[in-house]
Amino acid sequence: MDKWDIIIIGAGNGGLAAAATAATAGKTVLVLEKHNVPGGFATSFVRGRFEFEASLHELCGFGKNEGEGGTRKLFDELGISNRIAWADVPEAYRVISTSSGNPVDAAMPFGVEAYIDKMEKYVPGSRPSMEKLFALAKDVSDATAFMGTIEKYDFEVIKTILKEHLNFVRTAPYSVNDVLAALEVPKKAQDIFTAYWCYLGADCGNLSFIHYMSMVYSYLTLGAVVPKGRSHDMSLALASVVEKNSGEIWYNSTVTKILSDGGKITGVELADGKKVYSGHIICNCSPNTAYARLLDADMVPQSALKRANARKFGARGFNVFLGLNRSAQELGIKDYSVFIYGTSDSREQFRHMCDLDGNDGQATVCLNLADSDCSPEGTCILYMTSLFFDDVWAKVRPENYVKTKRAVAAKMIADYEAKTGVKIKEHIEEIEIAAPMTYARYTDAPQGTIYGYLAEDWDGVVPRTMMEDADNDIAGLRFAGGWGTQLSGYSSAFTSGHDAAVQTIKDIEKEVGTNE
Amino acid sequence: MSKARVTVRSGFKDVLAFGKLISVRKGIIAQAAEAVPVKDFAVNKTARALHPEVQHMTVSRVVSVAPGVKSYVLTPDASLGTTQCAYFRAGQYLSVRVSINGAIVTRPYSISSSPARALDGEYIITVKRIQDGFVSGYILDKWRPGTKVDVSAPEGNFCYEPLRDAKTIVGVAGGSGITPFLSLAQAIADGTENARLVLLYGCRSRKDALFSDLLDELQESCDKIHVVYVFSDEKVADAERGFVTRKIIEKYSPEKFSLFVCGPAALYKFIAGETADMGIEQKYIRYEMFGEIKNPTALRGFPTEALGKSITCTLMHRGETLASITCSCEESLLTSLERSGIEIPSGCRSGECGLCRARLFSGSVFIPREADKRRLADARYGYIHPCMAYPTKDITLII
Repeated sequence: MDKWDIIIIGAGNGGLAAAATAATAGKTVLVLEKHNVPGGFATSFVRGRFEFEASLHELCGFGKNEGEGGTRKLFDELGISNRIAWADVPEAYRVISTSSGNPVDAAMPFGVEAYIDKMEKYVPGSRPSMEKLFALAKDVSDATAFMGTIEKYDFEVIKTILKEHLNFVRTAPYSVNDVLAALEVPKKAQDIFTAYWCYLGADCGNLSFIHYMSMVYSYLTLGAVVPKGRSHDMSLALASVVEKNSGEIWYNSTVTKILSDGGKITGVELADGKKVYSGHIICNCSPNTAYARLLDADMVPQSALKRANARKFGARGFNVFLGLNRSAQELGIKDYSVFIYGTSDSREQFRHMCDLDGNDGQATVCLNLADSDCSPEGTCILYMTSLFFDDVWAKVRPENYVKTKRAVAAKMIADYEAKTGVKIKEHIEEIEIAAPMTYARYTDAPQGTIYGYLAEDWDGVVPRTMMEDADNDIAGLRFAGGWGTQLSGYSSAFTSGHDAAVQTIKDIEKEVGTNE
Repeated sequence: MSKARVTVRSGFKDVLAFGKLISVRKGIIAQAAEAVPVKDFAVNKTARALHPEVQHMTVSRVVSVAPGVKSYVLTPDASLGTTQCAYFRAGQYLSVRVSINGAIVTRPYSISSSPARALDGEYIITVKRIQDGFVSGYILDKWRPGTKVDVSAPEGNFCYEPLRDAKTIVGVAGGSGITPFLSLAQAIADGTENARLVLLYGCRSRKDALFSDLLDELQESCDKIHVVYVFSDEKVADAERGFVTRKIIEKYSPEKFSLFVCGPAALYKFIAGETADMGIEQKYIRYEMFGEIKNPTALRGFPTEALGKSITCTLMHRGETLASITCSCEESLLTSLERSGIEIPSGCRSGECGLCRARLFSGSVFIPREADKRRLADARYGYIHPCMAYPTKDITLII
């Protein structure tokens, strides 16, 4: 078939969620993927007797009961929630930061009450401010749920927000740090509370309070899960929904051009010259790539070019995957997820991550503490993630690549050992190191960016959401995934894909209306 | 909404700031440049330099190593757009693509030269004639200086990794399995790798030991390299007689070492037996991939009802039937596809790399348990690696 209702470029989380949504709604859908596997960063790989999760630390927005959480709701709708075997993440996180004067080592539980209690234990006197913070979190959560239902930000809507969600309005313009200071949260409690920031990729002086609070609140109230078959299981489940509903996914099919005629999108061309047609395209790649390489120049308006140039790229990925030849118990690993920072303030942490040698931040997961069967008996899987916020890898030459990434990995391993007291070095049976080049290789993401555009204050989730209509300035083209309105992260990418499909279906219906 | 009103600056300022969210963003975007964004980035260029989709090479020299064994020096073919050799780690292989009588096939060959030579623009691969070998015979007969050859980016993980391995590698090589160690020895000698290598090289006789001049020279010039020949059919001074047994491994190994093994399948079986009771932790033993299984019907679990049979494989791609071909049940699906002139991505031919991954839409295949390196979810959803799958019933395969 050459003509489709919707063509989706890229089978990452956003592309797959868009395709599954549109196919379920009865549209003919074609997904074009350059690899022979779906998922983008949501994948896994096998080394020796280990299957490593490539990127997921924990899935947010997925409660225990039907309809609980955004991702759960979407997976319920698509009929895949129960087809995936899930493992519960046991606790929220541990954070260790060791700057002189403010050392922090806190293991935090799920559940708002338990979290506040534990915080009081670590930071006596923090309770009143933390209670205020979580009361506010509930308001924020209600407001964002309301905003999720909004089609267009007209006067009436703004009036409702001002009337019903004033606490949201008053905190939405501000960073995490601004609001924590206003609520008089003690500094040490702030340092513990802000540990998750690296999941969203902007330091808490720059990161939208609403964005961060929504995520934390979701984690603490719903908990977190991981699929036992790794994120690849989710990718295959989504792909199967597409295929069961007469959609197609073409693998080994790289899109080289978005075709247009007289200012209208007409289809795409593949690397081998094959052309397929549709007036509606959902791009799961970066807008920069679409504007600079895929679209005809006359299709990209000034507004899109300016927007792309105004934005900065978010975090570039770095991962160390370790298959260890002892069990987590034998090694004394007690934490599913631990954030380790060389300094306690998130702005400083961010600055350290702009430096190839100075980066001393990591988020490390021991998968076996959620899913004890994820590796053979007597072994465990540990993966360490760090981020780089500058293009420092640009200077690394191919012949120095392996040595450079190994040096960064060695430092992360040494740091993990020093900060947790767990000795792992002697037990490394398998190791794989992924640097920004790895991410650039697999998805062609600019500079190996894994988080889309930087979640800076001016370009945070609230202004992006409110300007979604204006940002959608190329008719027939929408974006899904980490580069979109919802920003990066698994649950955000799924939501953005779903939203892009829903909006595109509306576009199609409007067109039919006009043609009649 | 909770009763407690929250203010950050002041009630008025906060609402004002909310009202400005859009105008602030609009203002910043309005001030940005109008140029078309950058098309490419240094990191992405480096990624492509390390992992090009294909490398167009020319055979620049052919060196006869021994009867039925030749080394081929490959240099980039700038006229086809390849200007450099992708850098590699000693122990990696190139998947060589050759077209033989309409069949397009690939074979993994370890790079036998050092990574440093790649920076000067050449790789060396060494090909040994295998009895009834489809590809090795073709290469040895046809390739000559000037022959154009497409190879993959360097692939594979049979490499020294200091964060994982002991500082001494005890390499057990059998026959042409010497090639990755030759690369490693040169990389150690020129300082690219910082490790010690004790090489236990098992051959029939002195004349079967490939590259012995080069190995002797490397041993002579670098105190980190120690080569021990183990001849099964000949007694030679300064060499061991017999096979690479536990006794020999223990005789030449330091207290801590990583055992790397490369050679024919029979060697792997032998070494596994010899080392079984040595108390070596699994992390310290690594086997190079064995490549295509020569005699799959002898494998445990091979379905007897499929012996000598053939089936029909319907091949789908991009929603259409591409071909319908007859496949022997005793041959890997990948080989059957190639035999029919159908080219799908492939790499290691050992079930590991996953490049040939495809969906088994209907029918059934036999996958040797010990070579099943698929992802958990792939196995559940019916995806297979055709290089390590033997059809047992008529199948439909989506690539």
